[in-house]
Amino acid sequence: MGRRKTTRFWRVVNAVLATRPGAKLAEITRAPINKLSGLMARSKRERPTPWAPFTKKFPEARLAIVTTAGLHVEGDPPFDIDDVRGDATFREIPADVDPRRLRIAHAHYPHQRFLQDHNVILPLDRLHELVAAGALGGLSPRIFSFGWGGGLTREYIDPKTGTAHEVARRLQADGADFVLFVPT
Amino acid sequence: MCNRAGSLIANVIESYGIPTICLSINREMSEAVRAPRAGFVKFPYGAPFGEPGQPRQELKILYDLFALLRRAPAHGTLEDLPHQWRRTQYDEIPPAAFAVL
Repeated sequence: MGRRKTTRFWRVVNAVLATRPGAKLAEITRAPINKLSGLMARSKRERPTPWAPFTKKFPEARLAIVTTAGLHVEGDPPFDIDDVRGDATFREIPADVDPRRLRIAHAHYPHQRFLQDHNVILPLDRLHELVAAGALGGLSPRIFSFGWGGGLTREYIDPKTGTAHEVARRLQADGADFVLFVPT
Repeated sequence: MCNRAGSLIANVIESYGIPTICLSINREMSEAVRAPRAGFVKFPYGAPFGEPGQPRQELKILYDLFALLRRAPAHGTLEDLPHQWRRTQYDEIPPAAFAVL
């Protein structure tokens, strides 16, 4: 295990993204960043291809949300945005959270649109409306929120210690019938 | 930006028997690391469900994702969803439309 390496770089990026020109720059550079990140993410290793068929009707199905938006409830510890490798830990957010209590600890995307309207990342208003109308069975009580993943892999998928496994077990305990994953 | 971590996490969750549907805003990354099912929107980072204050747009993206969850044939399905930033007009989707998906 290597020593934890930290950088102030992403804090600077975060401050730039919080400005109007910085947010604009993020949109202009999106295409090359996507291309480069796609190339870097390529792996020669064969990965498992699990498949769980979705057989329920939506009015009987309980939806759980999982995101990597770096969201957490105020008062909960924020994600580590200084670790050069990323932070594979997660926070729980109640599905009935007051959105005004949500905070972002993620330095890789502009936050302005979320601060205007939480539904651009967590469309909770729409989902609660669907549940109230009987079109969706319900929302799982916990939203699971991860931080920036960087190049981390084992920290998520290791069967014994991986945080994704812990989240999967908690989703099972919550009786989730399907999961919507939201990136940022 | 964390579409890669999302695919890794979705695959683990799916291995516990829970079906997953992923929204993607980075097609290249979602191609490199495949999730069981993903729908791509060409939207800016920080706004995967579109522009602020556009409930019809959010609902349509949810509808498209739920429909994809229903019809995706096999692991690794990655579909482009028909949404254009600031250029798509959205009709109201009645909740009953979700019930028959």
